[in-house]
Amino acid sequence: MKGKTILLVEDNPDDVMLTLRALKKNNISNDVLVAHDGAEALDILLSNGSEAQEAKTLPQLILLDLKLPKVDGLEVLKRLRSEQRTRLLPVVILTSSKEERDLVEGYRLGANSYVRKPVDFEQFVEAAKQLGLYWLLLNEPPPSELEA
Amino acid sequence: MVGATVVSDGDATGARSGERAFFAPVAGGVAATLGAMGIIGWIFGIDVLTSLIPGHVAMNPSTALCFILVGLGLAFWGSGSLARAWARFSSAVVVIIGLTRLGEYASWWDTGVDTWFLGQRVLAAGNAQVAPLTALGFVLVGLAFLRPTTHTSRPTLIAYQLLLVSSVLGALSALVGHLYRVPVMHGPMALSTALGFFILAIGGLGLTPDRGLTAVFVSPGMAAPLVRRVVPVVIGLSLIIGWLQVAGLRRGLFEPEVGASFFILTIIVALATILLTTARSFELADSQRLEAERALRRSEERYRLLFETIPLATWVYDRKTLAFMAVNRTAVSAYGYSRSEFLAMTMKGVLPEEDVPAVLYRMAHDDSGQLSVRTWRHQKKDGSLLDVEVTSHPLVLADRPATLVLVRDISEEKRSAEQLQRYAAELEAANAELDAFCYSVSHDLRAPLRSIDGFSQAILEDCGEQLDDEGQGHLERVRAAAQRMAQLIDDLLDLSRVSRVGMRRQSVDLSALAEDVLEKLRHNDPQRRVTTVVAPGLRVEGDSRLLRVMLENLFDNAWKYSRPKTEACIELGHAVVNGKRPYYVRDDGVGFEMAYVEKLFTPFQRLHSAVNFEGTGIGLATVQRIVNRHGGSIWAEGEVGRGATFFFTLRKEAEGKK
Repeated sequence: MKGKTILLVEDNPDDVMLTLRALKKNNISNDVLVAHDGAEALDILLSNGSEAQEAKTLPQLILLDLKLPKVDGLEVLKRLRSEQRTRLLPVVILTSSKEERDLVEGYRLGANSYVRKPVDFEQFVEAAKQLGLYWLLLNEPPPSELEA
Repeated sequence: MVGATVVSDGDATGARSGERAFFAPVAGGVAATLGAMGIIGWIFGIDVLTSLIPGHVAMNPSTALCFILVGLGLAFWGSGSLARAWARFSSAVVVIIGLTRLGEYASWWDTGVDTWFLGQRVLAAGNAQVAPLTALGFVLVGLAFLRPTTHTSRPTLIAYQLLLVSSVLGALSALVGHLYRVPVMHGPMALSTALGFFILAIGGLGLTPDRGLTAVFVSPGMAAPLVRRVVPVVIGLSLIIGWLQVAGLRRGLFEPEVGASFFILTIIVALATILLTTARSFELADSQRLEAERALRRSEERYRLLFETIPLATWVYDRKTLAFMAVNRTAVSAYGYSRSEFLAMTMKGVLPEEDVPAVLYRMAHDDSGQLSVRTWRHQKKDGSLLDVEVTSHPLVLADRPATLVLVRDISEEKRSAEQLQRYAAELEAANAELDAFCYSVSHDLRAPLRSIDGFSQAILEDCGEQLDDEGQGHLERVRAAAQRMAQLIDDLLDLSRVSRVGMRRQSVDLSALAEDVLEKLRHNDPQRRVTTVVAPGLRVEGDSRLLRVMLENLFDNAWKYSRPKTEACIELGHAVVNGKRPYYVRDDGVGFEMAYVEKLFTPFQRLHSAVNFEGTGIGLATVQRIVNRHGGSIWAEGEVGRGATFFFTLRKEAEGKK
């Protein structure tokens, strides 16, 4: 895998800024790719472009918001999990929803983790740090099909 | 003696069905025995056997033989077709003998019929010829026994019975002659002969006593026993009185005219007495019958009243023709048809046309002979429809298979039920809407708050040096406000969810739940030194999720308000207070003033300033709502500086047990 890209799927531009800021504060210097809605995310992940594009664009971690325009977060997750290429990608649902059904559905559809976005920015920074530490450093990513 | 025999014969003639078969063999047996006696007496010269009363005419041996033949035939009449064939054969023989003898007398032609069986010896004894009357008797009786046994038409039967009756009369007159010693009455016929004829004839009549002339003796009802009693009594009495008269005349006790008058008088008295007593019996029996009828009518009226006044429309209809057989008042007034209109209809008349096939189908398949309860629609005379609950039950009325039906008007019930369903659906819809609303609210309201907080912090971090303390303070307040609002939103969502979520009642281990919640609190705030005491084994009936929220709020408060103490104690237990048995959560923190206890559970009302203790003031309102949903109640006691105790029950008061 070339570099450790993070794909952030988030429609709220404020939240995008804050997330990037939080990641930066924690010295998580990976490339962060941003998709502003579900369709864009799917394009990035499942695009039928050249092999070169394929090899390049699979991120190491996906931070997925749930309430997205065009294609909903859970729908994106479902699609990801149904495609061979993206089936094993680590997905962290990052959302402000406290609804139990979102939690249940998220896990049922195959999310690896579910994190609620706190309003308190400091807490958010802390959360970002922990996420980064875990998913990018500690966690062993699944092998990509290309190398297998 | 003869009189007594007559009376008992009369009784035996009226034998009941079981004894009917018995009588013919007896009669035949007696006749045959008389015949046997005659033969033996003739052979051995024993007078008493042939004459019965010494000095009277003796029975002719040929007569005796004939009696044996016919007697045996009658005795075995019931034993099957072979016996009957024999009976007929012997009857035929007897008739031929009789006719021949009569022919002899009529034509002076000596056939010597007497010698046919018994040889010349017969003629040696005197008075050995069969008397004409006897011959006639045999002809009559023999003919009567020649009849077919099955399904004789009534005129034929009467004819046969008349033959036998004439034999009876003839025998009777001969008997009287012997009894009164009036030779002209019996002529050459012996006493035993007369007796034999009498018994044979009565036996013959007794073969089918329930038809024809003899029916009156055996028919069921009041008349037969009376007849059976009266006839022999009349005959017997008359014979006795007559004998008295004859005997008196013979001894010259009185003149014939006196005797005759006296005779008539006694006959009148006797007959009148018998008539009157008979009439009395009839009257008694009749009044009993009337009384029984009256009682029956009263009982009928009583049951009719019950049927009529049943407050549900009730009717009975014939299961085959579906026609109404009975209808009560309630049905008449409920359906608008008059009683006669009802009784002219079939039960299809109360059904709306389109429902008839379904109902008929169900009726045909419901033949389990059990009570069945179903809902249908019925139609009144004016066409309006009723929703009804029909209870039906099979029975047999007037020998017809029928169904008893009770009809309950459930139109109101149905309307109410439908309305209830509609309300429930509306409620469901409203709840679902609210759910969706809360869902978006929770998401959409928090996002801007996040931005407010986040970017305020960003300003502080990036441009902090350009701001003085006051400016930084402002931003801090902005951040704090945003966070408070977030908390408020969460709390409000919780509160609303408590009201909306469906209760799932189950047995919940409250102690375990409490330990879990307290553990989380301890984990999030490990520096605090808090002793927790949770009574073990507390089990309650309730929704585990809601109970968790309740405990979280209560322990959260306890944790929060005991912070000033270096060492605090939080308890969960079970108490007995004023006859109630509530649970309680107690802390020994700052407590509150009892004067303000009413405000505790009001949303957003706080008894401590936000500076000292953060909080939105929703927690206790949530707890109260949860407790109320479980049907219980909650109250609090507190003392400033000593702590607070919150008592709660999770069920209504009416049980004694935990």
